[in-house]
Amino acid sequence: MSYARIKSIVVCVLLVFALTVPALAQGDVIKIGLISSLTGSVSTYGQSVRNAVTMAVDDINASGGILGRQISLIILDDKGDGTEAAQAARRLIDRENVALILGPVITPSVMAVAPICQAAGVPMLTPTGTGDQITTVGDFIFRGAYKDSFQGRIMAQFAAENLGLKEAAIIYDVANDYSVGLRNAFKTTFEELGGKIIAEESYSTGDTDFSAQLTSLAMRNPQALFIPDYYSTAGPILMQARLMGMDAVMLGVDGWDSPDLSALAGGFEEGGYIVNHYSGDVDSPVTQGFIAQYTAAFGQAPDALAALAYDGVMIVTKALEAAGSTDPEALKQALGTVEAIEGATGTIKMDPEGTPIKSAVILKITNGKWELVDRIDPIGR
Amino acid sequence: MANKLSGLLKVALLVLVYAAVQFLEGRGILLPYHVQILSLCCINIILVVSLNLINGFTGQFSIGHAGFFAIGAYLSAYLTVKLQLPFIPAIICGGILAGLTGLAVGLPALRLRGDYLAIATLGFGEIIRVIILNTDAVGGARGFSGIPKYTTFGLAYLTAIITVVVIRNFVASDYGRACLAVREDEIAAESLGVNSTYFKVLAFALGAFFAGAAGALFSHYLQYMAPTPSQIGFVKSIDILIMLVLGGLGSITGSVVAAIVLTVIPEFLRGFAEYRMILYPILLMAVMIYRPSGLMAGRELTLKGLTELFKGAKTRAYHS
Amino acid sequence: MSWQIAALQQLINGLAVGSVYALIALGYTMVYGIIKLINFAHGDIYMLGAYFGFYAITMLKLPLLPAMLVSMVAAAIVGVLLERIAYRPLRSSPRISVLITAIGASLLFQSTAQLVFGASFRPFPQAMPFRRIQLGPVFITNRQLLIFGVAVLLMVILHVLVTYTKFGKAMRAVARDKEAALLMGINVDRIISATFALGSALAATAGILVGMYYNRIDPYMGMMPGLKAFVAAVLGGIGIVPGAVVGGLLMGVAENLVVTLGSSTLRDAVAFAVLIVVLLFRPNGLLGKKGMEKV
Repeated sequence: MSYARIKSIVVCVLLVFALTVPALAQGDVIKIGLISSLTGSVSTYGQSVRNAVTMAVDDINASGGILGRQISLIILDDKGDGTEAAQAARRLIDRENVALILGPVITPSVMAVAPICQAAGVPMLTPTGTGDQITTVGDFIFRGAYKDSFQGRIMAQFAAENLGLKEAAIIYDVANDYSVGLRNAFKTTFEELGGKIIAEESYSTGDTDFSAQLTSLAMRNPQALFIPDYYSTAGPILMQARLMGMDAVMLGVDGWDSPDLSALAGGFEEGGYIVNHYSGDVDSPVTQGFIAQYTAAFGQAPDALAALAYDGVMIVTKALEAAGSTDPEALKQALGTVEAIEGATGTIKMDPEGTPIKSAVILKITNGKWELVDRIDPIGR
Repeated sequence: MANKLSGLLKVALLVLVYAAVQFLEGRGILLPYHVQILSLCCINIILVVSLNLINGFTGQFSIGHAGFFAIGAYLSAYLTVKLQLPFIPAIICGGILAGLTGLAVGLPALRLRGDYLAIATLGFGEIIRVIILNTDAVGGARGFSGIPKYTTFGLAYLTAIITVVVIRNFVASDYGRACLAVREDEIAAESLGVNSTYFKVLAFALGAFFAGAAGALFSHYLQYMAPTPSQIGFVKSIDILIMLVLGGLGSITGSVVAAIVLTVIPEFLRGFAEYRMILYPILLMAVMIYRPSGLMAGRELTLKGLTELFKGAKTRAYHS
Repeated sequence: MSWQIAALQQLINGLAVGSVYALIALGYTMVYGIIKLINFAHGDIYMLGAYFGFYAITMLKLPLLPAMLVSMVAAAIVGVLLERIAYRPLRSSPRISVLITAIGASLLFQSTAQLVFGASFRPFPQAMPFRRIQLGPVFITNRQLLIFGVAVLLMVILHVLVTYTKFGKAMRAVARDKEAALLMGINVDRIISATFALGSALAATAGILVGMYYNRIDPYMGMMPGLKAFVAAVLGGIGIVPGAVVGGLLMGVAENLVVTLGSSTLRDAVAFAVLIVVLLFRPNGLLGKKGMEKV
């Protein structure tokens, strides 16, 4: 037996050993797990979430923790992949014995983790997952973002009623459930209100060229174009659409909210409308403080995902305080009932089904700034 | 006699492993976390060994294995969720549809070779993914959720053993020898009366069948399927290919070892966050540069070989 | 707009996208032609090229053309080093091991870029204004014109290089038969390095052009275009320089026409289906010659 082979066997044994030894119990801390996509093609969103969460947790620890205990944050990467997210979740639950899981960031990961948390009875809160089906998995599953159906409907109502539009076109990412969910909701509501979707085109995550789709859309000359996607894709679409000579009203979603949108859209985002959680005009000191602190810490302004992740920690903190312990049942009850949380995305109240009730605003980009156009009360959704 | 004994020994060993896992799990030493990794190891073993039949033993170059996997995963999930079919028939149905697709994909293999075949199979895999993405009956872009958790470690383990035994026996049979002949020299094989067309398509169909079965196990393990490249697309295909080449083309035990190692290593590196995806490719490249033919390099790990290995080590220890 | 005009417009759009595919495909095809390796890391060199250009413009404050040159040189160095470190030790190994090494290199480039440059999408500095040029009923943007112009120019230069120079002759000799070339006194290692340098420089140009055109770069931008350019190279007949150009342009145009015909959801599937059909009828690609099977 060669030396090299013995060495490789020893390494393997050590590896297995390292995996089996349970993590050493630490002092009296509250363990919270964060599953985020730190690598892989959606890592930009995962890193925003990680930054905001670590920032929030550091603040809480610096001011004495929760219930007199410090928070120990365990961050695991899932590469934006469901299989990996499931592994990470099991590890957090079985080896780290976390009180709660924050994340994952994107729906394919969320949907892989949710059944595990539900079966294990560990509460989970995804700060960013928007798919309607997420919270139907069970009563331990919570989220910090709007449902797709809520946001899509708000924009459709605004387009049909406030802007008085009769016709609209949609371009959406067929491989991204956030985009598909918003498109479905927008389409249904807009048609209910007597509007007509005259053309639809789609693309796949990672595409950069939209000229083919936009040329087809431009042929139909729509009054408005709904682009339900993140700023990173919405920006280039806006630019290409305008360069193509399309003069439609551009309608967007909370994913557009990023300081980079303007640069990515080459300034062509001017005049667009979005649904958002908060507005720069009327926002609270919490929002301002969050933006300033994040910018100072990470050298770039936060995007919508960072703000949502920050609020995810706020919701969890409030729930832990209300529950008075890390008992899963008590924590679950508390998560479904906390209210009056002042977060970076406005005032939040949780409903027992697991989705936050918060107001929405419609913003318009005027001279490069987001201006408040309308405020929608969440009642009757 | 010696053969029979070693056969019995192997069965005993396999049963022992299963019993040990059950025992340790019952005692709470193995956590659900570990058992989940073990199940994933078994599923990956099925995938890699079945790809080995196509790429390693028959010498074709397929990088569309995730396509077959996807078909098995989605069809079986559809059957158990929408039609309430029991799990085992659903696995078999998933495998059969994947196998039939394998027949269809095997056909271009008659005309295409090497890299051209590789890109064609990659194309097939992506076509299957795009079709799933656009099929609302299985959730489309939103993914297929609410799949019951039917896959247990025992079932995955048993299926992995069946796969290994079937493929090992196939390779050792006349059919397998014909496949090897096609791999070594297609023209020479043809001139000796081996119908290379038939054996290529057969290898594709059989490999695809097991990949489909692995898919069925996977969807009832994760309880959710998303049509993303890393789950059922080319990223997944490449992952399987990496395991295969690392273990060594044409070595079944190599495939098994590599599938286990490459399932465990990323788990081990998970805490390293961004650095994980730097360490992993470096490891991969280092192994390839120092062992270009893979860990097992076409050889098999056998019980006999193992005992001799240890004996060798012992004698050496005496001398030093 | 009538559908004929739309089709014409799509043709223009398709040619612009297609010339990017062609530029990337050239690198694939040259490397394949010479060492029979599908260089999976090529798409990532294209990504690195875009970032080199980005930093040359923003940090070194260079104008577009010098920035392009800097980026080409830097990418060429990366390409040569890649071949030296990762591929050369494996030259006599099974081809599939080299392929796995290439995949490893690709992953490494992506994750290193993510770590060094950051994971976020970066807006590319706009070194020229946005302008539309109206050509009767259709139009072309100045960026499309730039992409098309630079691509054609580089392809012509490459063609002249390969066909008429001594270096090109040596390259073709190495591609045909390495041993024989060695016997003729050709420094095979140097020719292979030069091929990598050339292919990487072309990819870097494509990276900058795409950064300009789409106004966005990120560490994973090489994945899909890399894959599609590879498909384009195979479509045209891998290992054949004009094949890469034909394949790239064809892919670009075909993709855009598929959308016009109304199935944008199936665009990628159609692209691959076309590839498979073409390969079934011409197994060596559109411009490929039927190779004799060696016994």
